[in-house]
Amino acid sequence: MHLNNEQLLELDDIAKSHLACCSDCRNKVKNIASLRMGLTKLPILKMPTNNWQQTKQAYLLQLKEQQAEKSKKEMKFWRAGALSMAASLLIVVLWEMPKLSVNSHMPPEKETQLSQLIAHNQLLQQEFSQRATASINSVYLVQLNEELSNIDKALQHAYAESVSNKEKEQLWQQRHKIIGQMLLATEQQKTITI
Amino acid sequence: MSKNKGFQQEISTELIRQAQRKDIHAFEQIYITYADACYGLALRICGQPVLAEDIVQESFLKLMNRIDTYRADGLFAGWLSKIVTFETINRLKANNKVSSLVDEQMISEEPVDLFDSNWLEACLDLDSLLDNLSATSRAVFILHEVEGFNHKEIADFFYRTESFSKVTLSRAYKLLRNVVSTAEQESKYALK
Repeated sequence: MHLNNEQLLELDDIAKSHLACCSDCRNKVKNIASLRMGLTKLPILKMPTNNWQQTKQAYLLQLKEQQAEKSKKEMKFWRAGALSMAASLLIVVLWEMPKLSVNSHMPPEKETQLSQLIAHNQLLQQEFSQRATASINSVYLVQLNEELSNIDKALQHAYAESVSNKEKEQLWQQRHKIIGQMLLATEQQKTITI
Repeated sequence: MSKNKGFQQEISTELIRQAQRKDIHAFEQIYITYADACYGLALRICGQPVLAEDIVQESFLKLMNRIDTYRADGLFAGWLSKIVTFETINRLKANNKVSSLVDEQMISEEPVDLFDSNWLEACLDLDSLLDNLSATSRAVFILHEVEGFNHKEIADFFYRTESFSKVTLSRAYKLLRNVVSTAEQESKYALK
């Protein structure tokens, strides 16, 4: 039994062992080799125009879009982190607020100062959250956010451990300073983007 | 850079490394080296110059985005030609140019002795001869006989079985042989 056309076109082990003892099939394989040799004479087709510049532009555009998408995702991630941290901090503060007013030995004006500081922090946090919806791509901002998270943790700890109001006030001031820097950075980023 | 042509050209591993670091000049070098080969492959399969140019651009964008996934376990040109082939076949599928026959329908027909001689020898314009094939047959023929892909690889390109590739190739040869025989007979009559 000779090899069929399909077997001749791509020789497997069985076909190869058949070839060893069949001159007819060997001749056909030789003819296929000649046919294939003819196909190597197919002319090389040249691109009518060099489209490298177009391809390069398309690639750079894709790259820009990918980077913007990545920054957006990163921003969303750490914004969500900052918001959840701020929310948990707010819960702690609200929980501690009545105790502060009843048990505090602080003079009333100092107490008001701390409350104002907390309220101002919340306002800045809100403002920052609104601005942060735009795509922000800044290492500096990420660092500031890291610092903010650390301060928030320290504040939570301070309230949990009922540390003195003076220490709390210092932490709130630090927080106020950092969030102010973040707002400034988003403002600069916005200006650069424009 | 080698003196070969088309996908037989080789590029240095250093150039590939530069490209993997997203160096735009390295990409340009790769483009200059292989753009014509990619265009030739795409055009021979799809048969449309404008579409072929578009396929080349899309393939190079894929190359630039995925070059870090290239492992030097095979020829770079082979990797690139697979990208071009996938892109071309996907375009053909999108344009409904790929045969919708299911594999069970691809049964072999009555045996014909296709390789008793080198009947292609007399053919002067191979590209025109290949135009007689359907898009699917031409794709399988070019991929197996010119680009050197095996049936398993071709089956993967089409998401079909190996028998699909085997039968399509055999049918393509049969059709080409008929065209060549008819042309030979016609020229004989013309001479008489």
